Amino acid sequence: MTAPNTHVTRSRRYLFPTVALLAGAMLLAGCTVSSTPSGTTPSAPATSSAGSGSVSGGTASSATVAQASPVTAQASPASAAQVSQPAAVAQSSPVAAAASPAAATRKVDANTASVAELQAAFEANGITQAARWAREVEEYRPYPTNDQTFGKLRQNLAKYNPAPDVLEKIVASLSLS
Amino acid sequence: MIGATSMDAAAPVLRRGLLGLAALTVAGLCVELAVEHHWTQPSQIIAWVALAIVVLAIVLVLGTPSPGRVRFARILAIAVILSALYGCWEHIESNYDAGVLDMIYGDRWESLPQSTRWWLAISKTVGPSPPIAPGTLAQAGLCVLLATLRHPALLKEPGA
Repeated sequence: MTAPNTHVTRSRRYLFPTVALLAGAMLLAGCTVSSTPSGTTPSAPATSSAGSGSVSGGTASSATVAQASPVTAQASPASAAQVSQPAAVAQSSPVAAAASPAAATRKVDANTASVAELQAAFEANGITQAARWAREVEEYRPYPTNDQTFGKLRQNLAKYNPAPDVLEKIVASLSLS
Repeated sequence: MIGATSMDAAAPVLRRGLLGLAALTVAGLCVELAVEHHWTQPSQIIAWVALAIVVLAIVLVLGTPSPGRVRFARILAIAVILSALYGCWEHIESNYDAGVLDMIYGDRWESLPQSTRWWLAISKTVGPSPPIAPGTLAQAGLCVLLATLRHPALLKEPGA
């Protein structure tokens, strides 16, 4: 009985510091996870306030976009066809943008447009890193069709800390049907 | 001074405690991953698979397992720890890739030194992913691994 116990003690003597270090590291990791929601929280209020329509700079521009977009849709009924021809959209949009910024906004369906269509619309609307944003928009689908302010999208994209005007341009490029 | 007998008596309690801690970690992670919708990309499914593996490893060690079950649980626990390390890397890499989208650093991302870019990704200054969060999965795996150390099932084996 004595020999195994001595063996156990020696093993533990060598093993314990290593295990303690590992356990400490894991506990620190656990703390990081518990702080994760608070780490993402700062972006959330801005997003939710923008989405809910409370007073903020982002909200004002969002409202402007929301008001402008129906006009755009009416003024340009062929937008669906333009979406199906991304290259044509990309080429024609700078000219349209120079003529009338509101009319230049290309819209694609947030839930059904392909990544290529999203990218083309974003490029046409002057959004940098269009391909990356297109992938992000696709990733967080589906978007509730009754959420015309794109609260879910805003909340998810806010995690990337985008410039407010970029976020507004992205939202302005999308529609829900 | 704690005698060998009392240490032997404490071992099963500590073992069950470690398994309980692993189970608690799994439950917490399930909630966390579900809230975060951690399934929008194929690589995010790895975390769910790893959670299932931890549960399997816990079940294998519970009760009076055979030596084979304990060894298999160890392998599973190590696999989970490795997957957690991979998860940490994935999170850091995705933050790095998201640097160009950042309002502050995006415009000058390409001109920043590599070391600065990686630090910004590791510190989650850019990107959406918590870099060390997958470490919690490693904690669960480590708990299972520790619960198998000097396990009676292995000590009963000839030559153990």
